Amino acid sequence: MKIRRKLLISYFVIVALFIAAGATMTYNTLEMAELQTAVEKQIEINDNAYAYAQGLDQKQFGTLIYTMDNPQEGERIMVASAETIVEAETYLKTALTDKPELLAKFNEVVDIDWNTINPAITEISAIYSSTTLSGDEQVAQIWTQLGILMNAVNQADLKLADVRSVTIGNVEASTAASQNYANFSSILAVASIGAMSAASIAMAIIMGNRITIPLKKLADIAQKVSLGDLNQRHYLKENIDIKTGDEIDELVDAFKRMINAFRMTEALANEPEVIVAQ
Amino acid sequence: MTVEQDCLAVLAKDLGPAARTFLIRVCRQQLQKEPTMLQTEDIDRLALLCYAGIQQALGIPTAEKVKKSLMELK
Repeated sequence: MKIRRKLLISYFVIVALFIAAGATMTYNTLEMAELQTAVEKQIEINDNAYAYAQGLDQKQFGTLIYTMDNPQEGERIMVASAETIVEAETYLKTALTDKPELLAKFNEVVDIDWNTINPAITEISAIYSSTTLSGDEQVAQIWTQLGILMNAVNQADLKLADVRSVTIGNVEASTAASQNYANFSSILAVASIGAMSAASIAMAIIMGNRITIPLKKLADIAQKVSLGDLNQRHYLKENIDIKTGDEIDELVDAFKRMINAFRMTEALANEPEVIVAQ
Repeated sequence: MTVEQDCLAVLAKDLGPAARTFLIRVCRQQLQKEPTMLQTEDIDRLALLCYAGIQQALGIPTAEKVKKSLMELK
């Protein structure tokens, strides 16, 4: 294998480690972003469920004000509560479509609102406006309807609390999962930095040794040959007969040939008759 | 390629720049001819002569290798 290819492979090993770590961390970040979106949605559901519960409480409060000889203020509060409730209901019915259990629970709240709370308020309004009932009868019947109203609002609040509790549970689960991804990313970052550093150092040492050790030996021999020691051929054979499969091999072969040439030239010059007369 | 060029190519693998001088010496002194006049039938004798010369200067393994390579030229 040529030196260039070896260096490229070392480089690609490190780059592959880097890409693998980067890809995993990117995946984690995307997962965390997805969880963040889910958390935001759950919080929004929770806020709207709370707003719906507030709207019901406001409606109940408005009814009380209405019956306390302040019908105009009571109606104003009830209208404001209706706006809050409609807005929250519209959002929740859309947001909970992919969560049928929560949607069913919320629909129960809406049923209570429409089938118990609103009729009770209508009944209270009718009793309050009635001219046929005596004062005591009016008070008694209004208290009865207020009791029904309060009981229904309590039931609705409990069901909405269940919905909010589920969303808070989801938020906690998503936050924990996100935290796990964050922890894993941190560990991965440290581990990958360590692995890449170790791989880089190992590659540098291995590649450095594979290239420099034979070259250093060759330089030592070249130094001796340049000073006239042609017996380096034996040294070369025994010590640098390394099959690295790269340009170092080619260099060693060329060096051997050069020493042979020196030796042969020297032999021919000194004893031409002996060399060629065998 | 001529026989001389083939022989030079074989010798140069181990003797490098000394190959030509060595071949000329062997041809002139032992075969009594110029390298350019080498024929295929001279290769056997040339291989033996090269073996004898190289084994003294460079050792038997190199001499064997050169001899074998020269014989393959036939």
